[in-house]
Amino acid sequence: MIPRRLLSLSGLCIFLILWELVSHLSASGHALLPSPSQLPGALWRELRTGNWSSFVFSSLSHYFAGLFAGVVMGVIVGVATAVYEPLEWGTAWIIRIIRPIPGLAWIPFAILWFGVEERSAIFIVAIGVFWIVYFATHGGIRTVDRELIEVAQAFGFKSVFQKLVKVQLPASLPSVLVGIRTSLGQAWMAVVAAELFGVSGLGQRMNQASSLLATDIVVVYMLTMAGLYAVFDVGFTVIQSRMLVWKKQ
Amino acid sequence: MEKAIRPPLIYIDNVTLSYVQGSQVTFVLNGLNFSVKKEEFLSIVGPSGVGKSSLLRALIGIAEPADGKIHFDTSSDTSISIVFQDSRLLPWRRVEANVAFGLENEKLDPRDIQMRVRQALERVGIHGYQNRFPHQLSGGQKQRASLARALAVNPAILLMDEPFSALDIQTRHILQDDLVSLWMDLGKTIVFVTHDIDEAVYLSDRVLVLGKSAECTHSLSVSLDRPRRRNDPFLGVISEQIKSNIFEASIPS
Repeated sequence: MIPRRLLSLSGLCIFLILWELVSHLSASGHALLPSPSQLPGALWRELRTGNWSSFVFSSLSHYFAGLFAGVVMGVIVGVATAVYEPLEWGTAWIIRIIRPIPGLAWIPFAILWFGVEERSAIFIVAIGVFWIVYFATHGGIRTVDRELIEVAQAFGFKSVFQKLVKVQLPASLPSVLVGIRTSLGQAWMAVVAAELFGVSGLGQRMNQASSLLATDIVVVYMLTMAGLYAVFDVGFTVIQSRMLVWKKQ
Repeated sequence: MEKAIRPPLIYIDNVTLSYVQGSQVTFVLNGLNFSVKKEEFLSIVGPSGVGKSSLLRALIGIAEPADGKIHFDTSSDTSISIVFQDSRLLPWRRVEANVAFGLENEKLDPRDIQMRVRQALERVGIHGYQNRFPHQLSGGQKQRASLARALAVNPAILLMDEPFSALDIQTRHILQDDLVSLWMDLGKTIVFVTHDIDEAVYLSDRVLVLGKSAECTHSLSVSLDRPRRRNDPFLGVISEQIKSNIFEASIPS
């Protein structure tokens, strides 16, 4: 039996070799599909000019700000509607109408309200993250075992706030964390899309490069995003497993 | 000179309970009357669905009676705590934090909380497991932790809702004997719900057999010396008497 790591490495090598061959043999040349061997040079040029760090830093600031805003709002609204039924009923149709609107459809309004500035990118990211975290939080709170809530009541924690803090929030943490982890990837997609319209960042740089047919630079930033997402996802899973050490293995 | 007659610690006064299943409201324990004396070990038995667990929920204050009232003797300590059927330990808290749960409502000094938690764990025999999570405990250990949680708040009245029903017979016997020792040491009033008649007779001073109405409810004293032997033939006689009472209580009126 071939070891899994060797199989994974082999698969990656075969993919890169095929990619290199297709790029070299393609009639349209490297303009439409840069080869893997071009990428280190493109990355070096971006690093040397300071572009890479500048655009990555801009995107990261939009990413984290939007992620934070979306998570906080998603948790607050999710908790409020899960705990207070009149609020849930009052917002039910509003949510049904607004939820299906894609985050990118909000770009015209983001530009109108905030201009072609950082805040509009943060807004687009936050909207995408909000819905994921909202439903994860709402569902998590709603499905807390009633018997655990009775434990809190039996030991004197009878107010809505006490039951929330003592039982419902900790019990719903696994669901909330799944929502946040899902939104890590969603936030990246939203960042790039929001920056395509001129806000400084990876999206803007990719748009500039593609208009100049510098597709090697486009791929460099695609791989940058993939690498950053992988780092965040791995880091989050480490945090998640520490926070959920109490769950059965 | 005659001794002053003490009022009962708990008096169930013409209580009717209800529970909601979907859109349907079901009434149980219509017009129930009984009392519990201080330091008494009372077991409650009855057919399924008669309202045994609902009664405990009403006593602990989770549910309100649909009719009637529950009276507590205000001249005595009537602090109350409960051990649930399936331990219901909070899975995200270690054993120590679970046992401290009820104490967090009492605004105690953290050192006092720690001391009471340690005492409760020692008393139920799971000191050394305080840093484990519930999923790392056996069924018997979980019930001991649940009992420690109930004892840590130092209640005068301990309610127990079929606490040993999910355990194997050996663990159940050990925990039963430990519970009787605790009761005799601490002088608590225990109200113990079970569907195991033999368990009820072995543990209790009195067994209350609940029926669907007040007329079908019976109370039998178990006047046997302690410590009791499981193979005592009198336990069998009393058990059979209770079983026949339950049969009558389960016949629809």
